[in-house]
Amino acid sequence: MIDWVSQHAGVIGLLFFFSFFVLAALWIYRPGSKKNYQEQANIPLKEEDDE
Amino acid sequence: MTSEVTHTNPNYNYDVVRLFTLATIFWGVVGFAAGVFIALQMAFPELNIEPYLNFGRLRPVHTSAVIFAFGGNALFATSYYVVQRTCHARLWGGNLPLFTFFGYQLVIVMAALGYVLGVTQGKEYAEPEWYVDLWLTIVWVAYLAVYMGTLITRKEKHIYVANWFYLSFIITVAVLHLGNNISIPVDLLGAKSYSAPAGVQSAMIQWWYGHNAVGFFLTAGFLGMMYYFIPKRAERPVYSYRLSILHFWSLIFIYIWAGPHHLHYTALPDWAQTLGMTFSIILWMPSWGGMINGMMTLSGAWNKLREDPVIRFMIIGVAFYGMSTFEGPLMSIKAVNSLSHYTDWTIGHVHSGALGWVGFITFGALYYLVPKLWGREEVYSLKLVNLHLWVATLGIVLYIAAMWVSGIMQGLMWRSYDEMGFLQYSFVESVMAMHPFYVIRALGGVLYLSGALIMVYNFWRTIRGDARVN
Repeated sequence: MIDWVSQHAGVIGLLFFFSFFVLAALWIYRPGSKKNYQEQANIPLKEEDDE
Repeated sequence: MTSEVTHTNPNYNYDVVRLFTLATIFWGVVGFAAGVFIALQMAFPELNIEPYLNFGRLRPVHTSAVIFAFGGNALFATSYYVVQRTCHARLWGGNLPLFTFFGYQLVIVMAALGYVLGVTQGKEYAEPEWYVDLWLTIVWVAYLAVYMGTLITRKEKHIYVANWFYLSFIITVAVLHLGNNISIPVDLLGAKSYSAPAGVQSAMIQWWYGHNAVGFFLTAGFLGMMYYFIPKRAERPVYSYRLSILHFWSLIFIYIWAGPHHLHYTALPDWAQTLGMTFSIILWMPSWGGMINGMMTLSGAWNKLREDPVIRFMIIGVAFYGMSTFEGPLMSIKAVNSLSHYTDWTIGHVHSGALGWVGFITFGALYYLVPKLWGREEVYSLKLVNLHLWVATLGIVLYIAAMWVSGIMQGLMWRSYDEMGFLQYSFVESVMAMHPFYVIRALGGVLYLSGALIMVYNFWRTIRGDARVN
């Protein structure tokens, strides 16, 4: 098992990182999430309580 | 401290933020001055005062003072401020934040005293010996506890992206620090220790640490600063919050693999060198994604760049970030590295990132923060902010241009052969050829230091409560 992993470490790494990136991108840009992210972007701007 | 705060929400702990802010300013001046002095030592070797104040001992004083004392205190100050403001919660842990302040200053003083007295474990950016390393571990765990505690007790539903960057910086630096400082003291009453791993393993661990000190200390932490202070000062949300999340995950996943590019053409296995090079090149993408995100926050409000010197500081800082993260991947390519490595080009590259990015985003954040913390409308003089900006920018340009010329010349002189196959230049000839560029570099440093002194004056008047019509 460990031999097989080290033999194919390059491809395993490539697949792991690339699929993580693609899944993250798909999740972040999923339809209907825009409003949610806009709200989060406004977190620093809405704290006017003490200024 | 001179202040009576008149405006603050009593829930927020600004006392410790003020302390860290003052420490940032103080250590900044110390670190820049040390840099100017060692730059002059390079140009005029007579300035090496043996044994305590020679270049070898003062160089880590400079690097630690600017990275860990100036940069570190800036990260403490801004992270403690940002986490409270974006979580709507007081800093967790009662007096624990105050402990991190005094504990961290003790780390700095112990480290610097050690360097001057010749106590070092000889690892770049990790020079302090085992007793300082252990103490820093305790302080850092307290820092993590304060930060996590505040996040957990937050009243805001979401964790704002700046906090993600700060948190990744705190956690990763802890891992790096523990990994790179595994050493065995010779005896419990002596300063000397020996590194547990040896040879190429030790070298690889050192540059896994060293490069990620750049990636997580000097980049991720300061990106947290960018994601809070640019939107605040510009009074508009970050250009794309989605891009900021993609930026975060790409950056932290890729940075951690780039360290081997510091060991090109060494005993490190070739595949590891190529791996480091490849990841360094891929790193270009998230770096530029982040840079564009920071800059485009001004999209539709570019007039602020013309009107507000504080915004100008931050945006020029982000521009330097873009420039040095373009140059870095270029230099990690083996063929380029065979020319650039061990030359002044590397020093110039580091300083375009350190003076340009880390310095400028910090100055921008400080110019925003100091009036807020001391309850003033604005800094004493925006004109002086502008003067600081241009004096410092000129200093950086002189510095990096001198180091490009000197570094490439040095690299070319080292690899020149005559028709008989002998080296064309002796080493000392390359050193002599660099003298004028060392003088220019020192001049650049003097300008940068002068800019910081202008800032100190401006803050002194601001904190005193003087107002000036701009």
